[in-house]
Amino acid sequence: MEPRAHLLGLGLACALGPTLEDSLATLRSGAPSVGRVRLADLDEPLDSAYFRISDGAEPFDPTRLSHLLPPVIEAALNAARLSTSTRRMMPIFVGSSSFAIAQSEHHYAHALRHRPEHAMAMPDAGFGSVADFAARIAGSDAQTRSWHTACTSAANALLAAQRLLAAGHAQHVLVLGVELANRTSLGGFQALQLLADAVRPFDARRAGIVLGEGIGAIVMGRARGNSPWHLADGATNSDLHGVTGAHPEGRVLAAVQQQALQRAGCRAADVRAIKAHATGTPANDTAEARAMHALFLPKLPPLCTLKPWLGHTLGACGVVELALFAAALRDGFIPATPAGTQPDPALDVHPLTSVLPARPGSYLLNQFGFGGNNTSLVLEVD
Amino acid sequence: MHAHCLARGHYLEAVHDDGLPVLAAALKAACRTPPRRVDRFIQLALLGSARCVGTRTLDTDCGLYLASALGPLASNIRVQQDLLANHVLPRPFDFIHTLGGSAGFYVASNLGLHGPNQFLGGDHALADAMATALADLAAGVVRQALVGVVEEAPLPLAAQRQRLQVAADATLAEGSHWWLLATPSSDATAPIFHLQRHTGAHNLVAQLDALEADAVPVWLDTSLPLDLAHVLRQRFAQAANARPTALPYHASGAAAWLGDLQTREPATRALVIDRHYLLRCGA
Repeated sequence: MEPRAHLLGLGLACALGPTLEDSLATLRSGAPSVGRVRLADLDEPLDSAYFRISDGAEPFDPTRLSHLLPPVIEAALNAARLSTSTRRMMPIFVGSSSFAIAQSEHHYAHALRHRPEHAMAMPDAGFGSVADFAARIAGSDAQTRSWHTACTSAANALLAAQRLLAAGHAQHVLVLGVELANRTSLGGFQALQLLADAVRPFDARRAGIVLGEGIGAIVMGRARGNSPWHLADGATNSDLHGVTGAHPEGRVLAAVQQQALQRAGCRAADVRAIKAHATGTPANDTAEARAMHALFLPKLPPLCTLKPWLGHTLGACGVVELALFAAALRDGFIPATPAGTQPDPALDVHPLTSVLPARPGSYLLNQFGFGGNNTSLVLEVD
Repeated sequence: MHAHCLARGHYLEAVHDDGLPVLAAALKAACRTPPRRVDRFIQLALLGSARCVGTRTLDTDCGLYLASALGPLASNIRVQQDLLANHVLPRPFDFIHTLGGSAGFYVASNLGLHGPNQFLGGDHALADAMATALADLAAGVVRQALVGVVEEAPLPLAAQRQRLQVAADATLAEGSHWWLLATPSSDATAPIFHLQRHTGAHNLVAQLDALEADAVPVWLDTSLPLDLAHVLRQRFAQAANARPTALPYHASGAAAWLGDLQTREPATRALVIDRHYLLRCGA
């Protein structure tokens, strides 16, 4: 049998709940819960809508990763039923936009308050601390790699893990998507004037993104076990139109979806549903809509958007959204977009407004990022 | 996993507190599209990649695999200073440049590349980038892979030495080290890059025994366990003595060492050994 990248264990903490099960229950029958976060120490304080993991901590508390990451990883590892020796040989791949930047911000702010003459910006530079911490939690002594390709980071980590497994270079890989509140992301997206008060993908009123926190963990393995899903394949490409946005005609976005389907041995007509990137920005949704129409003529498959539930978890969204979407399919439903949509007639894209029964088959997941980085994944449900 | 190396590009310059080396003329000479409104990290990436590729026409779906231990540090510093010291929003381009994909975007734009564009961050930048690129080559995702490692040395250097936890008198460098790899069938005369995983001392020693490479120049990475590093230093004592003179320091020493060695001795064989990988280069 052809080696596959089976999803053996999932773990999640996000704005919908502290566990995957809690998140699924809210996704099926609850309502999204968006809060707010402030950058109060700016000359012009920023107060923004924000999807937080509800843990009772201060939003920029640098120790949050240390208590939020372990239970997510343990949930995924326990579901995968990996032995200690298997864990030790399991590579760990991480995707994130911000990694441990909140810790660096905290240490710099502390120095500015207490020893300003010695304060040094970016005192904790580098990317490896999240992967190193994850390795200690998981008991892994194998390689770690960290992807930093903006909003496709975790999706690219998943794709690399799938190829590592397919080539037989590992039996299992733990893939993480990690994004927690930090001043850099909030201030940066505010500076770009991309923040909005609500996420409204493909909606006539869409005005931008709402940031969100998420930690996702997926154990992938070559042997199927009891897994109902596998990551069939995917593709990633570059759109050279601009560093912050895809070409509005969506040709490169259509190409990456087409390549993903080809590599997975799947026809567009066979796609059961699409989990769209669907940020709710005018530019992204326009390009993604045109790309999907070009690929799926004459009619789009059912379309799911998760950012109205989670916010935009940036570099983590590839793993966070795959974990939630796959779990929903396992539980028999394709998630709906929260009520109150007004589809933009110019886009002619209509996200599901009520859940649909999920059936076996192929599901396409899109992730697009700054730097012209686009990644599409194909999930097969047996 | 292995591939042929079709071309190399190497930039490594010591940095001093009186100002970073001026790159404008070199960038203008090397780049097909002169860069505008880009930061130092992107300039370094553009310069090294352009020197590697030269006038060669690449496949448009050539993959780009850029890695760095510290990434676009100067832009991150400016963003953090704006937010926390100056209490203002960061400048938009500073924030955009902090994102890992930005440097790859400008390199891809300069060279007309539409294929995979990966940025990996971490202390084993060379091995991470090579492993990811070679996996894509082996899987047939790409036929060419442009692999780069870039490190900045933002001023003041005292702060950078503190970040790197090196001696107060250490000579720091900025670097941009690139290799153009291709599937083995495309140029049978090109030198080979071969990457093997190892699973610890016993396995690694067996691999090295098979290679008969004890006189080959070797980079022993600081990630190696102390006991294994000690064994390897003894084994490669002769080769270690033949190492090039001390290079100015940046956080991806393996890439700087290999780039420098191959620039001075293009035909030489070389080994890079870290905690997980054995990278063989040369004929």
